[in-house]
Amino acid sequence: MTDLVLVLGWFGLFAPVALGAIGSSIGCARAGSAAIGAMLDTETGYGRFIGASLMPSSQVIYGIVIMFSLQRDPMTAEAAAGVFGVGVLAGVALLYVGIRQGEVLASAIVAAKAKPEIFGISLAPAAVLEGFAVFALVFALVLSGSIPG
Amino acid sequence: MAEGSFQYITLAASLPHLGALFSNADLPMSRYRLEERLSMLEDEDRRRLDRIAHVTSWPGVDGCDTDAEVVARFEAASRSVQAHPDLAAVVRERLETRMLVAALRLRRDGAADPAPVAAWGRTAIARAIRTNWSEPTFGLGRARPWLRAARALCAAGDHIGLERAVLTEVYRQIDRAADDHQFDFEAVAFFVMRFQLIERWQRYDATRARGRLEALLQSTLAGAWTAGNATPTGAGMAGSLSQ
Repeated sequence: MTDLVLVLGWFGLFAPVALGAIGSSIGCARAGSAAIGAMLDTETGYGRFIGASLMPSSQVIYGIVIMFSLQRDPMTAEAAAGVFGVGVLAGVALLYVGIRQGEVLASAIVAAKAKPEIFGISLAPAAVLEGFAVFALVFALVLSGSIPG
Repeated sequence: MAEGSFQYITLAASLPHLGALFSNADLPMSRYRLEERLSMLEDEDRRRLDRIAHVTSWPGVDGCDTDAEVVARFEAASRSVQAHPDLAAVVRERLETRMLVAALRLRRDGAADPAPVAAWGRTAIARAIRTNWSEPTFGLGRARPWLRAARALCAAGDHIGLERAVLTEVYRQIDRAADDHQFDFEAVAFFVMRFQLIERWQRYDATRARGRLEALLQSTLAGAWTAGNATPTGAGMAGSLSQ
């Protein structure tokens, strides 16, 4: 039983990084595909399209920060349950934000291609989603202080 | 190409914004460039798209000898995109719009009964047309408000106005369906359908302009001939060209 709890603890420890990486990959791939398409149809603004498409990469960075804050040496059965809960839920939040950010960024890139003056404001929804990921990061850090070990 | 595939995102993002149907602006991309972009589609998707694009374009049913053949082509195209309900619905709506306009023209040309409509199949629209032949808008004016304007234009013999009203309605139908699709097969198909409409309208204008120019030239030449016979000055020519 203790072994299973420890396994779950390690699972929760790496979940923010793994799920954050998956979210970032899907988000960047979606937004990047839109950026590549937009570049076929425009003569300028390549840099900002690609720049915007990289925004979801922050999810994996947040995941790494959460992982370090949850790390316990050694991992104990007392800490494992808390690490599992906080890590998995934070990871799911990062995964979801990454995917959705990719979608809104793809839309923003297409819209800004037709109307370049709205490029800045079209990134606002993605920035709001980023804010939600930051909430998940900050409160995961706060709660990690309450986990024994 | 699978639904939601990243290639659809790239392809849809590479297509320009088309804008309004009757704006004076030129098409934002050439047919050649469009074909080049569509080459990103996989073969099966391309075949499905071509089928839809062909049947919904004017020349697509131009070679049909009978109305039943036109209906059959539309139904086959609609069946080929059964996996995409919004697209199939637009194809069906396009057929219904054609039916309504054809019925208006038949009635204007003096058809006393809806006998020709029998070949249009058993769709709800064909049934409504047959049942309400004597009604101004076949009892469909509430559901399809554009019919009232189309009927008035048809009765007045305003062919260009009618064409414009019908194209506006078709464009609106596509726009409404396209709202829910941004990066998928439907998005690409709706783009191509709108592209064809704008292309057709612009070509239509060019045809009109060419016809008018020919008429002006003929009347000018005829005027010059008459004037030349009376007084060999050719003075009537400038006046005709400025008409």
